[in-house]
Amino acid sequence: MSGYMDRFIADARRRETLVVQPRMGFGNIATMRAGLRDVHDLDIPVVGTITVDSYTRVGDHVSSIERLKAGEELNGYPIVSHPMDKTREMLAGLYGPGFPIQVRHGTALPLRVIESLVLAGLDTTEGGPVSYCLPYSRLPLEHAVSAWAESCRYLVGEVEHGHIESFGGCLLGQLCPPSLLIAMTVLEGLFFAQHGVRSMSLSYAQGTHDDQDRAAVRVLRALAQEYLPSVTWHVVLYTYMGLFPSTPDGATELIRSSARLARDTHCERLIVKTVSEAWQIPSVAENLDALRVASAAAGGPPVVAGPQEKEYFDEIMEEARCLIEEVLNLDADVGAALTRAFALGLLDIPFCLHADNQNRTTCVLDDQGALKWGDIGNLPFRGSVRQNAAGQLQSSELYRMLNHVAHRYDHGQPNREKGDDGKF
Amino acid sequence: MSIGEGRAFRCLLTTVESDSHFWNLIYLEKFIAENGGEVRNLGGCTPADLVVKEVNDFQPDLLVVSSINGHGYYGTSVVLTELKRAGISVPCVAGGKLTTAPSDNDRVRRELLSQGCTDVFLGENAIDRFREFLAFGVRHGFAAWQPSMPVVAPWDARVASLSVAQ
Ligand code: B12
Repeated sequence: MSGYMDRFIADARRRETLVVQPRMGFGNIATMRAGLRDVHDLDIPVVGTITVDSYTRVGDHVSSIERLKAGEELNGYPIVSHPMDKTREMLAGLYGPGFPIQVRHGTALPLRVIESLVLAGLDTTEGGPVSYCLPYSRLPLEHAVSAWAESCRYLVGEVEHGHIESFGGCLLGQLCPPSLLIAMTVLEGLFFAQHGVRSMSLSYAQGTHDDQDRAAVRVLRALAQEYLPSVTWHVVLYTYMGLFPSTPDGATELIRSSARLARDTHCERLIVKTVSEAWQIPSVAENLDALRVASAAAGGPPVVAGPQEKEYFDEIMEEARCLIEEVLNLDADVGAALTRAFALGLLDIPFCLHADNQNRTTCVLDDQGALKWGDIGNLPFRGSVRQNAAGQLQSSELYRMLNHVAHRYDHGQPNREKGDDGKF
Repeated sequence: MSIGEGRAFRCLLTTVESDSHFWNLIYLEKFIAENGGEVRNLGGCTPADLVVKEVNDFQPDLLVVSSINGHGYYGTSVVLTELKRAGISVPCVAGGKLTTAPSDNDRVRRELLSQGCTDVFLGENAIDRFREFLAFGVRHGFAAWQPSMPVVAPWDARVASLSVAQ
């Protein structure tokens, strides 16, 4: 037996269709229900989302309700602060085997949120000790590691089919070489497994270059098979998580390209952005449009790997495996190993300002528009990994890199680096 | 000190407590430094009491609050209130995406100006206007800056006149 999420994914996999999912959350209960209902009513395979607001994310369960009372909007649903019976009513008649619902929350200390989702009758969430701490909080990594260990055990103790998706494949959303994202999500998967979680998803956020991205997802699948043989897992892809195109056409085409990437690399699930991403919180209608667009774009036969992809595959595989092995060698306890790895700089997220990140690594775009290491700091790479020293980055140069994907899509040149004959 | 002689002003750069985004902070740190500032960047999810403590410690000429998660309007109000409570007066500007809808921008700017912000930079050409502001501050001091008054949308005019009357 398995839970709603795993069964839903397995069904879709059998039918070779991509499951799509929004990143939707509203502060108001009626608005949240209306959004879930409209997503539920779509005639494509879709999973529902409750994205939690950012007061709740930092453990402030008072401001969320006060701000709603003051007539302000929130950027998500305050699942801890709204009365539990109201949340249950909100889900009634929607949540079920045909419509799994996931809570996405960005909290370093997740116990309150996980207790709330369990009380609401749910069992599926997202996070990880590293990926929900370093990008989301100022709390020490060590605290997040112990809180996540406790919360994993709580979840699997309370519900039969607790499912957690690692956010390790996203981290800061942009300018991070794929190998680190893959290593992080696999390591978080191992951490979950060590604390009793049997059902999980591993993530990867679309990057800047199609061949590199396809290679990266293939590496992720291979490593997951190798390191997580005894748990149920699937791969979830995130539509580009960095600075998004601001034109409707550019944003829509980027969403489509993420769906094709998911299809080509057999990702089971895709978290879809909207045309409002570059602006502010999207409406329900914009979410529905984006889900339809993504689902439609994922139709058609997968494209087979090209020659360049093989080179990227080898490079990413070598780096990701090296990172995973070095971390696992530090301690039999994965949480302790992760904490030490950051202290030693064996893991080091480019540009991450969190105090427990050494912040000695950087990432650059090469002339193909692919993500490469700038400085590698103390990362444990040997021989063949090339550094591309970036020097002192000016604000304009940083912005050019952050804006690279948005610029290409807004100017109708999604494949510019590939030359005129470039196809997907 | 003029720009030619090195760092022209001290700038404390922060966000609000609920906001974990920091690409905006990384970008602004560089931008402000390139425009003559010596910047102390407090990073993501900064509690207001830490901002107060750092203002006391660093004695900045300018406090910059950047927030993009949609809760920055409230978070900036909290920072302004805490500064007042601590009896500190320091030129303070805010910017980014301060609520969840761009249509709020004029109202939010007006309200934060009335709560004591020196200026509020929102929307498309925020960075260009901020550059002018920094150049002015280097020459005349930030406290001397006069923000242009926001255009009041007709449907907001009543609310605006009420708050002016207070
Ligand atoms: C990367 C990203 C993330 C990363 C952040 C990693 C990190 N720690 O930094 C991750 C994935 C973790 C993340 C999480 C979340 N995010 Co986010 N994120 C983004 C994204 C895609 C890019 C932001 C970015 O990199 N900016 C780069 C900088 C350089 O640009 P900028 O921030 O726009 O700043 C420019 C101007 O605004 C201006 N500016 C900014 N501040 C100031 C200050 C002054 C004084 C001046 C003059 C100018 C100025 O100058 C900059 C240069 O032009 C944006 C959407 C987008 N823009 O495409 C969403 C976005 C900011 N996120 C959003 C939200 C809501 C969230 C979440 C709550 C989850 C969710 N519901 O989706 C969480 C928040 C967690 C929290 N506690 O706050 C919303 C905010 C909505 C709103 N304001 O209405 C956005 C806009 C997406 C959306 N449309 O829904 N996010």
